[in-house]
Amino acid sequence: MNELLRIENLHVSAGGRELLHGVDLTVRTGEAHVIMGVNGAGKSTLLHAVMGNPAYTVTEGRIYFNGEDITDLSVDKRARLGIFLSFQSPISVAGISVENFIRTAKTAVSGQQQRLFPFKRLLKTRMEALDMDPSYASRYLNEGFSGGERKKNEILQMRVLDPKLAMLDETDSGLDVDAVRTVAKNISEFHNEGNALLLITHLNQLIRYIRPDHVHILIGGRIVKEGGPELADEVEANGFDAYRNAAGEA
Amino acid sequence: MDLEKVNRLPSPTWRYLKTNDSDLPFRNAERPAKAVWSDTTYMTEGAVLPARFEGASAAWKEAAASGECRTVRIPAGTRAVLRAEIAMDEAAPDFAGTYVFHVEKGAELRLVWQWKGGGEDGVCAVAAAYELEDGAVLHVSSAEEGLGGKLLCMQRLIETGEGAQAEFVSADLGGRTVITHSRGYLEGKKSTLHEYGVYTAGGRQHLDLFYHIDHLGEETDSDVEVKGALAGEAKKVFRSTIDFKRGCSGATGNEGDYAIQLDPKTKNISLPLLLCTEDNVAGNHASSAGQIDEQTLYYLMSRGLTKEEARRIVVESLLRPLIDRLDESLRDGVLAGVRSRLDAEGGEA
Amino acid sequence: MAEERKKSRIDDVARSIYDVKDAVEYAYKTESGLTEEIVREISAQKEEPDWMLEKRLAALRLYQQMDIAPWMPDISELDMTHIDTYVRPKTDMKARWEDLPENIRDTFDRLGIPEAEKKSLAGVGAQYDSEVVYHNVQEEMEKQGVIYVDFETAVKQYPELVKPYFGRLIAPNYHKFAALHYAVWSGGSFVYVPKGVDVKMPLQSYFRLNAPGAGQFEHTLIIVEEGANCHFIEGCSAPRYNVANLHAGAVELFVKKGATLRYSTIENWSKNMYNLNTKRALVEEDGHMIWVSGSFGSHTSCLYPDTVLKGDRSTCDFTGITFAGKGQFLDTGSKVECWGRDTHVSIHSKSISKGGGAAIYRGVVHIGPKAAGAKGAISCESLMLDNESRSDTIPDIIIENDNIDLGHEAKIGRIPDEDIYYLMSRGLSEEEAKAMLVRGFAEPISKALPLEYAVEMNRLIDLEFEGSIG
Repeated sequence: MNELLRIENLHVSAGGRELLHGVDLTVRTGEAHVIMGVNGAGKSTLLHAVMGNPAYTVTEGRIYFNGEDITDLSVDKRARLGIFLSFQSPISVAGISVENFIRTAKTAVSGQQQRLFPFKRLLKTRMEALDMDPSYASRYLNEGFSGGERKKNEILQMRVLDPKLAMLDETDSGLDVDAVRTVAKNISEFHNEGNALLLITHLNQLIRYIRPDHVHILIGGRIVKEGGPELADEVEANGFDAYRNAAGEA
Repeated sequence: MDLEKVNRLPSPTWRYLKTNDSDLPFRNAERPAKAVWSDTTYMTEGAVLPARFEGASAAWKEAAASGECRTVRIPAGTRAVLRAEIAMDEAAPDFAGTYVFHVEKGAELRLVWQWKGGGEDGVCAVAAAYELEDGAVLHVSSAEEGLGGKLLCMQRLIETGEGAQAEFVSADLGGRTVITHSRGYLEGKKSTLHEYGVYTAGGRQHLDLFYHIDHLGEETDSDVEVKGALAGEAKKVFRSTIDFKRGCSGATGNEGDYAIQLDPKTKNISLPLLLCTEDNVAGNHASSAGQIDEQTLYYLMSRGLTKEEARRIVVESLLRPLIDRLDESLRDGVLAGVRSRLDAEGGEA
Repeated sequence: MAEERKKSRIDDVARSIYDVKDAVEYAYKTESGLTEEIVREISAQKEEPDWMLEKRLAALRLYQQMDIAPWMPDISELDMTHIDTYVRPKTDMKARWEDLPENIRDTFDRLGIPEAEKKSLAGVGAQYDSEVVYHNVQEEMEKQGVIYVDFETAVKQYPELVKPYFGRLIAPNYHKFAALHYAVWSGGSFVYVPKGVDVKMPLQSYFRLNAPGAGQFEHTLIIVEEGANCHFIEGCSAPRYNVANLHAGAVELFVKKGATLRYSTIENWSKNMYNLNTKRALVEEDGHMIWVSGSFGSHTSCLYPDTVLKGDRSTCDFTGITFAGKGQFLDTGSKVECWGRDTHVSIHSKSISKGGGAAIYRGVVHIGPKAAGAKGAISCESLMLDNESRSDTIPDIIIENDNIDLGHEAKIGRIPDEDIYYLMSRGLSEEEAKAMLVRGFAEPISKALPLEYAVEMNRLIDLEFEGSIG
């Protein structure tokens, strides 16, 4: 399988503090990876660094996507290469409808003009799969959306934009039991041999659905343990204490 | 009495509205009372105001200079508490004073102004410059009682060094005419200036409140909040300007003007300006004006309170958060003053 | 972003259409500068009744006496002695489109007026330079008794309607440029909507300036009688010239008992225009005045639609957006005076400053001593797109009465970095992300405009971002 994402010795700082202290990670096409870890371990930082959030500075190390060094690439160019991040707390924008926004984004990442009616049909199909009311298409982007609705809107964008690498930052949090199932189903339908997943999650329900190939445990800005799906079960049973000690943090 | 133009808006607007400045009575302090200071350790004779000190008007600045002139210098790293009690009576119904308070690096000054009178006519003109070095902390409280017939003009200028914090809390309950003029220069990075004012005005009182803060340093923060109740034929003018100067990246500024109008002939004028030549800022203004919400009154009265009691509770609840910022020694007096003012005014609303 | 790019190219073409100068022959042209002789000449040329000439001369005297308001933006580059106050194209009033001279028709074609016709819009009053050259009111409206004519015609044909209203709301001494207007006014629209008539389609008027150094002083007078309903749209575009241009029109609107008037403006004057326009509405009992105002063009603007809520339960709803780009100083806002009881005021103003432009909100809400029961909400939002620009908010609230409920909010800031990052993470470039967020910011205005104007406004916003970096 192709090497899709390669992170080498990544050091990342924000607000004058180093948050990641040398992370290595490789994701191949067709794979699903899960990153686990306590709050503040640097999980979100890692995903934002891959997406290119200007609030985070890469001080050392490189990020490669499809063999290309993207460390200094702007956010939109990364998106056009096929990188997608489902935000933990997506912003809301009054005045821009969901449909208009996603259509503009689809045009941007695909490089092809999106004809109105085929696009409307595509959006409708994807919304139905997520149990989203069709009226959401004409509502303002995330404006007045509940936490759960925002998360669904992120997955909707993932499905329509169809990226090569989908990074999901706690997409399952804030969702009720039914919604977790719907979202998990959509993620697993999206995932195929031609793309890859990189997830942050606390929920084993999602992990069971996705069946990750690799599980990484990130503590204190370092990956301290890697393994297969069995590692997630172990964390569920025993927590992170053992790894915290391994990272030298009480 | 002569009329004098005061508190001119820094960025004026339509002339025919007559709100760019106020024409208010002026006279000099002829029979000044003496200020009693709790501590004179850091005090010297004479005071040289910064060149850019303008005051409410040139005449008022001069009037303040005719009285006692003192410079207070709080040495670096020192914490000091200073009280000034100024009692004006029939023999000496006026007051004038010009002061420079210099708070050195990392020093802290807590200053309490207490104004007293017996309801007689008089004039009180004060000019004060507060110069805060890096890391200096200043808290100034001001409250009065019995100034019913007086003409007050309180003028100040504030300059802040890096990380300096200044907070002013004033309670204006009396005074026939009250002029407040505050000019702030937030120069040092991360310095702050907070201006809080509470008032109750009745009869034919005129309150003329002026605040003008320049954000010059990065990540500076300002907050101007004025709350009060107007009764009788009282008039309040609020002129506040927050000016975000180019280069004050990361600055935040808020200004708020909340007035409850208790009687039909009250006048309430508000000019909350936001001027801006820097993009990375957050400036906000909010204001509200009007009567006490009927549903609120209804709710309180359904619990057995009289209309007057209910009204007092609503006004108190508006003013309380700011009164609590006053020096503890002044709070009870101000609260009692607010209550008796509301009872006395008894608005017909 | 193929689609967006393509759109922008169209917009460039669209803008260049506006900037084409036509080789027009001028039938009549006054000497530069303003004297009593010129004013008499203008009046004689129009074959006006004496009362109008007297009004002009009185206004001229006022103009010569009055000073320029000290708070006004700098207009020192505006030299009245070099502004021709009156330019009249070599064409008389035409009733039919086909009869218009070809080059003028061609300009209007490119401005899209026949489009508007095709869409069977109610009527078109198009002003070419200082005179109305094309005018058409649909038969149906004539049957309803609606009058929509150019102002010269109104003065001659309907003096009983014009005389009592002309100059009543905006007095010549309102300010210096109002005095100038009354001295030299020329062209404009007159609309009369009889009692109870609902004019279903919006009335539209296009204004253009097309002579180097020509000023434009059109007078608009709209009377909406009891219970009637009308929507008037004023759209402006003008070609670029090197000589400073002045626009000092006057708009007087009378909204009678229970009537509703919606007055929409989308202004895109060329960047050398001084737009010192005056608008004022008088609203009677239960009447509604709705303003929608988009200011994009001009070098300098001073524009503050003024609403007098005279009648009990009358309302004013103002929605405005101002976009100040490089070299522009746009001082705009809203004035409302509440006189009647239980009036209602709503003001929503948004501004955007970019590339060194200055956007100023200046407003006043005055609740008089007898205006018990007034309710109001004012909000001003200003967006700073860089730190070369300027954005000021100068509101004035005067309350002379306790039985009121008024709230005011103002905000100044820039587009949050997180918002730009989020949009870029979906593949939009920084410029595209900003343009989209600004369009979203402006959406309350575009929503209130008819579709073709909303589209034009969004194109104007996109154009401002085309090729600009960060």
